[in-house]
Amino acid sequence: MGATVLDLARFQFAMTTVFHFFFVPFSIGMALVTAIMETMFVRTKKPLYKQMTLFWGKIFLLSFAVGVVTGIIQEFQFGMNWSNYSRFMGDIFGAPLAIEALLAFFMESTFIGLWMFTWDRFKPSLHAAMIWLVWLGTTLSAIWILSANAFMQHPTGFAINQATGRVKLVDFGAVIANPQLWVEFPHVIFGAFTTAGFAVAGMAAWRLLKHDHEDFYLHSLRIGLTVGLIAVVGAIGVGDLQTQFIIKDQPMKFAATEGIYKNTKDPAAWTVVELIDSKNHKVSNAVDVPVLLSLLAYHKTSGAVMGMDQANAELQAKYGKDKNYYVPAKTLFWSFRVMAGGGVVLALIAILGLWFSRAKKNTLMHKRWLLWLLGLALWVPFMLNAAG
Amino acid sequence: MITELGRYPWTVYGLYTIQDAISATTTAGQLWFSNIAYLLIFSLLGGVMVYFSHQNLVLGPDAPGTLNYGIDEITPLEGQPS
Amino acid sequence: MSPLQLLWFLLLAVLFIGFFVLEGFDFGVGMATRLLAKNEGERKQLVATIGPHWDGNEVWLITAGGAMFASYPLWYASLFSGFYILFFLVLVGLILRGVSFEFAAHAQSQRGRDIWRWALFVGSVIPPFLLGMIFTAIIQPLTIDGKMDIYASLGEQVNLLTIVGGVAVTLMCFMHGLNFIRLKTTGALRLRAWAYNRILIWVLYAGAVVFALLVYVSTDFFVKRPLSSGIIIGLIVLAIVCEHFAILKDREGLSLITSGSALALVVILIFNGLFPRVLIAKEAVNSLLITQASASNLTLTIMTGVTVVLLPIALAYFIWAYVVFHKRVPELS
Repeated sequence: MGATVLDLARFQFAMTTVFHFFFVPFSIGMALVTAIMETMFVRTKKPLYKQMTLFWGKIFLLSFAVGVVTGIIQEFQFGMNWSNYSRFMGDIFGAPLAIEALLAFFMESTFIGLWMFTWDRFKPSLHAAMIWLVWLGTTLSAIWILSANAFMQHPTGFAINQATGRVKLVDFGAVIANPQLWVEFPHVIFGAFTTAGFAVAGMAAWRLLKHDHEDFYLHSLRIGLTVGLIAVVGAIGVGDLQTQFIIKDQPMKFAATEGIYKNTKDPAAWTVVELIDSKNHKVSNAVDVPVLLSLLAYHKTSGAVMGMDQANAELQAKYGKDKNYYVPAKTLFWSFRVMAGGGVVLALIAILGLWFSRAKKNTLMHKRWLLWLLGLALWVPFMLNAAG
Repeated sequence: MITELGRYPWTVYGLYTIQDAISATTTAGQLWFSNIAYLLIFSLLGGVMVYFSHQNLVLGPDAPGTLNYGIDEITPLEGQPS
Repeated sequence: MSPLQLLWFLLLAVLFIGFFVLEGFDFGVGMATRLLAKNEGERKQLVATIGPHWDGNEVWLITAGGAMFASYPLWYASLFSGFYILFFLVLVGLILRGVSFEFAAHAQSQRGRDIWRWALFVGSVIPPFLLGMIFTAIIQPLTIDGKMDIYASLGEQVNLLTIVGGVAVTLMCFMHGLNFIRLKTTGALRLRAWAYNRILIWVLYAGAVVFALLVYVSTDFFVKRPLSSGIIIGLIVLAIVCEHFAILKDREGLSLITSGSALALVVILIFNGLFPRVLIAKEAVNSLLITQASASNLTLTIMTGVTVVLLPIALAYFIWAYVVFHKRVPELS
């Protein structure tokens, strides 16, 4: 069939990771939303909030169940498909995964069992603490798995064991303090909260279009959008920090994300759209915004950006001329625009939704176009997570 | 995608390429089998999850809870001590 | 061999013991939803016994796998890639079981519920059976090349010992689950579970004899470590005898402890027989030794420090969860 073992293994990793990344950020975010709702019930004692906890908690549990099983697949997959990787990297890579299980998985799975089955037995405040601990477990697990990924992006704290040719750990502190991790983790977590926030708001919007349980869904929508707005702004903000890091650490990835082959002028313009000819390493029909790339990359109105051609030359000089180091530019260029553009659009929709549903003058029910937008926005964070 | 495709061809940036990383013992047949199985399983799981989520929305917030696997008899969702 | 290498070999055994002893009764209860329960009310009663616990119990397997990756990456890599299809099917079983609880609760029709209860049953049989096969495959000589890759033939994965091993682990998990049911339920279900175990214990005696004979014939346990292997097998038989006694006297707690001990002792038998290797090759020079397969001293040190801090905390709230739910589950309509 033409597909080699390598292609098939890469496809499997891509597919399982994409599915994992559909369900898990959603469940991390839903844990937060559910915890917020239950806390509001504990604080205000209003039955509406208990109703919301019991309702949206169902969606949370559905996503949690699927998320957990996608995670088990990932752990086994390293050994099954990537045994040479596991041997080469195991000295560093295995520890974060083991710690993830010992710290985070025990926490989330024990307290979710307690949360599910002690509604009638624990005081409301103790019961709410259970779901907060579930959320804490899910978030801690994200830190540890991302520390492993961060190492893959930006290796640190290691040395090569000359006798065996494998990587060996030299400085665990460096592995945990990896700057890549501390821009990647907040970005992913904000992405998770965004997903759940807009999912709740979107589902509520669909029901509001049918005039179903208006009071309930309006309140749900406002909570969802509040979480979603804060989260998406946070994601964009941290994304900026990530940009600062990547432009120095992985210049090829940055250049590809911006669709730049030849080094830019100084100051550098930001390309909104363009046609990329990845075979001949050329671009055309570019729509540029002057100076914007220098601003985004360096927070200054000057500064050129390295293109893929020079990045490739530098990588070849460092690692050898036997392969070229170009990454899939078209995919990265458009994925980034989808992700970043989508984020901005979500923020705007959230602001509109919150404004028109404000307590003093709630006109949201009359603005069906906005309810439709909010409903569609349900699916957007999933696409953005996949693009990222 | 940006995260993972952007570091091609490295599995570990600057150290180890993807080609070097795969298992020698895994065959194309095993991968075809598991890929197809995963695709079916994920589609099923995702589809069922969306289906049940939609069902919950239709049944509405007044429907009985399932947070305790629907076993209300011994761990009711409604009763709470003060 | 350094003390840390030995410590982590033992810790891995402890983690796998924890998995089989805890998740073992989850698997057993899952099997019981089909083999013991007669109606939906009884199935619900069974799900109620393990509802709060099954996910936490499963984490023991994840922890064992992750700890193996961290402390013995070469063992982890060879093992999981060498038994690809078996591990894949274990995953499928765990996936089916994992979603079945939630999906069955949401199903609106009895037919829908039945489908997901079947998923629970299938997902409770497959993992113990195949894990039993894998664990008994690795105690026999495997085809391993000079690069530590396992090229296990069909015969090395599916043979008399591995089939008996799979059946034995499944049976032990079922009986362990029945003992758990006796401890955690009231009514007809509890009496039926008791009746089943009074009969199954005889099957277990027979199985133990066959298993011991096959270990003697198909592995080098009685050549390399005859004394310790003999003692452990003796202890397994003793555990089964004590379980029989506990069943006859309707001592539910003791029944559970003894069936759990039997599972634990099988894991101990395996780890004891493997020692000082982690994988046994047909050509002795290709066997993977503990000293070759482990992570670096620094990694093992860090993992030890982390575990010393985190494991007691995790155990504390893990046990608390069992205390919170110590009451028996009554009959449900």
